[in-house]
Amino acid sequence: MNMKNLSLYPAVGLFVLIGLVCVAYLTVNLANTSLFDQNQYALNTKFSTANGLRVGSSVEISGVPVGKVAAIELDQQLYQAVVTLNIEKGVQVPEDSTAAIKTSGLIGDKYINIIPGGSSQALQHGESILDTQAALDIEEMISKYIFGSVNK
Amino acid sequence: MITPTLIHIDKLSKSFQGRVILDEISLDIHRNQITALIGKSGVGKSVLIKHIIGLIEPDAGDIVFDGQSYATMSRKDFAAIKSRCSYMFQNNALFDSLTVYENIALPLRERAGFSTAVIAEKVAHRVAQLELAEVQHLYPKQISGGMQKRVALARALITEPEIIFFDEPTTGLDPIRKNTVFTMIHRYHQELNFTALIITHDVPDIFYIAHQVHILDQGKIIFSGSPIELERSTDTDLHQYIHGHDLLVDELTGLHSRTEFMRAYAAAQHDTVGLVSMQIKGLRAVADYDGQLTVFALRQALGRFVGSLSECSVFPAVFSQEIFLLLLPLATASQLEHVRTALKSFFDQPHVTALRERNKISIELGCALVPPHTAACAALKDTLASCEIVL
Amino acid sequence: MVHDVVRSLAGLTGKMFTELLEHMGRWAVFSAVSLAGMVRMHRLLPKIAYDIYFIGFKSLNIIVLVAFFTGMVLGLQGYYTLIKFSAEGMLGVAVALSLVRELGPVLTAIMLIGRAGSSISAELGIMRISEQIDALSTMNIDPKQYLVTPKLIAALICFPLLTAVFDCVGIVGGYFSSVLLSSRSGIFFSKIQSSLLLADISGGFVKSVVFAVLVMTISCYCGYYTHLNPRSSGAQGVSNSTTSAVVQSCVYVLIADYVITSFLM
Repeated sequence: MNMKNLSLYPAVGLFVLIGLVCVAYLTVNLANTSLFDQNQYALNTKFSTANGLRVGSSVEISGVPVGKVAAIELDQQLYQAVVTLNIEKGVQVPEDSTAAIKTSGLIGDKYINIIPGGSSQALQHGESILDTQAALDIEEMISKYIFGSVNK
Repeated sequence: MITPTLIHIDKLSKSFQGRVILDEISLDIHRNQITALIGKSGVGKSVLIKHIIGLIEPDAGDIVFDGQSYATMSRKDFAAIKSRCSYMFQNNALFDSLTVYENIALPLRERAGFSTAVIAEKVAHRVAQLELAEVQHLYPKQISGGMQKRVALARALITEPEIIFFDEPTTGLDPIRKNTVFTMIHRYHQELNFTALIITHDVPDIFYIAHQVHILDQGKIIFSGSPIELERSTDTDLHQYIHGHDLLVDELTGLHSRTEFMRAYAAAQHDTVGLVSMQIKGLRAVADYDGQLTVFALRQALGRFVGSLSECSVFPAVFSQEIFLLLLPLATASQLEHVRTALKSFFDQPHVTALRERNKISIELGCALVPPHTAACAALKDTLASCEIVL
Repeated sequence: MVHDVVRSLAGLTGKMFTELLEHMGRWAVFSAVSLAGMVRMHRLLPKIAYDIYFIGFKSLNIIVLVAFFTGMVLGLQGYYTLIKFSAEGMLGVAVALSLVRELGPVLTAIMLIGRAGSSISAELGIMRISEQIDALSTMNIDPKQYLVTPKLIAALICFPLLTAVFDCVGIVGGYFSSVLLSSRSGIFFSKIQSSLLLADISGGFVKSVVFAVLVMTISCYCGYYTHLNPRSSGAQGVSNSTTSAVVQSCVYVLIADYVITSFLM
């Protein structure tokens, strides 16, 4: 067994190494996991509908990704969607900014676009963006357009 | 010498797919003794041993090991028993993906408390003893059957167990190594004083080392006792187990055994029976000086000669080493006389005469017509009494 | 007549059902004992290393090959489907998600069933019919923990790692075919990064761990109990148990895949 093991262990080691590299590539690079959470801070937003938005959707300011959607929950009193955003530290979001759910392309992914306000006061960790615009409901718009034209 | 019972098998029964293999078997294995279990192939000797080491569960009955009943025993207690035993399988059951050395070392490696150095030393000792040194780094499939047997033996002995079950330890070995194995079992037994149960076909060799013999036939133990008791027993069924070697010789010479003679006589005795006896005095000495094969050649010639006799249904048999009997059912006096003359002419042939003269053999022939319903014993006595030296 | 047919059918079904129950029960106990053997893992380390070598290292080449072509064909099929919606930019996402969530764990498990499960089943079957397993038990070595536990541990290590290799190589394969087909291959990886979630990847790993346990216990079970098959014995028994190891492993892997997917979604 000892003779055999001499050539066995490097092979086993090589295999485990290759496997772990692949795991690391998948989790860290492709899934874009942020290993260090202290580089981010959380902001809350409320939307009348978070239709199409999901955890991990990107948050952009002027088309530049600055964070991700961390959680989507339902506010039981107001029946609104509470969306928690993780924003990179160093990105200042003015307190009078507006958060809007947008679609990339006609049928693409939903993302959150933050339109910066003019205030010099930046939002702190745990605070909320008050002004929000829910997603445009394309189906509703199309049906309005169609039924509207029928009514004419 | 009777030592306390170590394993008591109590009315053990087992059947496989409706075929009864063991039928309420009871036997005792005594502590520190060598017990032999003999019987024809396929009568369930291995099955019996596998019950003792727990590889097979009985249909009914129980085994009591050192006072503990298997039926009520916990797994832990049974594991403790297993660690006191080792079992040498009939087909060796060597691990074919491990080398000879690893095979022998495995039982020690998996048992706590042995350092690598101690294991190496113990294995080297056994390997040297069983002449396995040059094959120890080969795999079991690369060595001969006899060597595999010795590896299995080494593996069984390596843990120095209290109880060893040998399932045909000598089958497939050459006669010299067979003797080595028996000698070794005997020597270890004196040294380590273990308890052994040996299944074997090597009759009568086993009788020299066994203290107790059990014979298994058709699911029953038909004999239990010491080898001496077995030898003294008058039961004709048991004789085939003791004289296994003679049976083969008799088959080859065309001369029947004593048992078969008794059976043939019993079948023919309701009519007049002719008996011819032939005593070849000095034949035993031929065996000693010229060898068994010379005697065998003479017997074979005799058997062939008797077979060629024109007299219908002559039943030739070996009664003892020097006495041969011919049974002629429904014989007349003239027929008997004719056979007698013919036999005399056989011994007058030149090459038989040469053998006779060289070894100072004398031939005595006798014959008798036995009236119906005479006891075999009396008939034989009459016939032998009528013997007279003819050559 | 109809009555008789119904009755014999009912009898047959009942017999099959009791046989199935018996198998399930024995398999469950077998797996539990083998898993319980993990507490004494340190004694088995050399055997585990060998089994990792056998199950993992020796399967690397075949996994890489299969993964690359699976990724390529996914890229090809996805491209021609997505181009109809002018959404060929989503190709990377389509390839990555189908690989990570579904094809990676399942195809890896199926390949390992063919390469390792069958040979392990045959090995144990031969050990059974040549009484080597009995020999272990007479030496007071638990054959399940000596033979099955190291393979189980090795499989628990190898299946997720090989699944990760499969995913990565498959994604590269998909990229390769998208480079061949489309000029818009540049956004392949960035799209994956923006839509692949850690939950997808960990879901894939959960699957591969479950598959590891299933494949190893079923393959070992079939080989280990070769002697219990009443319809065949000897070499034929080994061949039968190898076949049933492969077939049953595949079936249960696919069933488990559905169940896990429905839980994770």
